[in-house]
Amino acid sequence: MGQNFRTFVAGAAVPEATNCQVTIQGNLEDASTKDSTGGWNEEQMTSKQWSVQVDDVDASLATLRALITRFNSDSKTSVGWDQTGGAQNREAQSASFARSGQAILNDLSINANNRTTIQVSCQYQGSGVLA
Amino acid sequence: MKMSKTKSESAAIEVGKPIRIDGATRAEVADKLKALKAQAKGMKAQGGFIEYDGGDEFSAVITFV
Repeated sequence: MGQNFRTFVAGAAVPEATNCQVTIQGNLEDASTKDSTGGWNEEQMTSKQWSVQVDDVDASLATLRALITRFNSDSKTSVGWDQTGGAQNREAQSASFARSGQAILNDLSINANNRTTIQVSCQYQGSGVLA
Repeated sequence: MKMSKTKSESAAIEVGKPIRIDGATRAEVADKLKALKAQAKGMKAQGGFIEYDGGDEFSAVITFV
């Protein structure tokens, strides 16, 4: 189930997350030649990219401060995902689909409506291999 | 009388003390984590997420409480 698929940033599950989205894309280039028959394109993968977006409700001031510091630092952080269980559903299970890599926080959105919890959305753009 | 010290092969598990595991592959770190969890039977684990550190290096930090 979705609640057991959690994002890990700097080795820890993102606390109080409500949603996470993983995007892995390959950029294609038309590699068709005159040898290609039937009118169909022949594609070739020229580069790959990945990103992770995670939403967090009721973010504390400390969390907001840490995220803004991370954004300003332009630094790479270990980001990945895994199946979770155990206490607060934050314990990594080392599932076969778990992956991680270095990523940069490149999109930070803070939404604070009157009389509602503060919602934070972060996107980490992968830099280098997703292993 | 002969006295000798034997070296324990497995990492000592101390409650609340994080243990770092390194390995060349994700599977290697996962196996070490599995062995530690088996050793710490009955204890709750925190963390244990395998991180890719770049190159051929994977690591995980696990804490038993």
